[in-house]
Amino acid sequence: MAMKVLGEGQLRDKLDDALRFAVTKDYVDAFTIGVESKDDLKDLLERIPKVSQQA
Amino acid sequence: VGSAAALPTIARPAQVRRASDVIELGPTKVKVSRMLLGSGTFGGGSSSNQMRKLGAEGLADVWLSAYENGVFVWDTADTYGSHAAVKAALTLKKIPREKVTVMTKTSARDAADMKASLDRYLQEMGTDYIDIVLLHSRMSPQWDQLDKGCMDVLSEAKQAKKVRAVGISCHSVAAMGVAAKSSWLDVCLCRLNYA
Repeated sequence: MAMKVLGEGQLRDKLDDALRFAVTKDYVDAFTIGVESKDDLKDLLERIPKVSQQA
Repeated sequence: VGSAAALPTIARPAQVRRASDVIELGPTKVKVSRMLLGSGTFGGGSSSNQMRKLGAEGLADVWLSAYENGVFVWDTADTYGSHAAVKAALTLKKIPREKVTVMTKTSARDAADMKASLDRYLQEMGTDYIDIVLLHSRMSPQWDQLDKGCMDVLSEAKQAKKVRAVGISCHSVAAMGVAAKSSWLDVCLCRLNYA
């Protein structure tokens, strides 16, 4: 599993690139992201499927 | 008949992956959603930014929203002080224990500390088992020797069904290299980003 996929928040301005890097790796079963709000959560739930198709 | 090399390449769309995809980890088959809910982007000293901003009940409220969207793994750590959010989610938000996967990370460094810590974690969380316990933030390539006491206690806890899977969170490539060859661990959490 992967952690620090957003570089402790430093990659938040490149969120799609950072998510795509983690989500498209076959050797990564799962990844952890620190979520601080329901808005953050909603955004991630929507972005992850989109970026996964942009390998 | 042409050679295989002459066959046209069929372009296939990339597989859609969702935060709520369910994955079975390693030989223990512990289930996780593809996205885990971290609770310590900046954590230490029994606190984290998530706990400071939201508190246990606030974080549990976010976890409830995630649970309703199929994301069901709570990634906690002793040093984040986020075990209280597990108890809040189970008791105040009434999320069924068997429907979620609870992970924590331990800073214990010897067998006695690990044993006492594990009992404390269960009490803090209000559960009688933890799905995944990781040795936290290990960097040394000798972690499998230095942490033998903790590893033995966690193996016994697995036998006693207090813990379902064990592993480490690696904070160095050297530690990860040892983890990749270790027959002890079930789960490895590694730093990964493109920067």
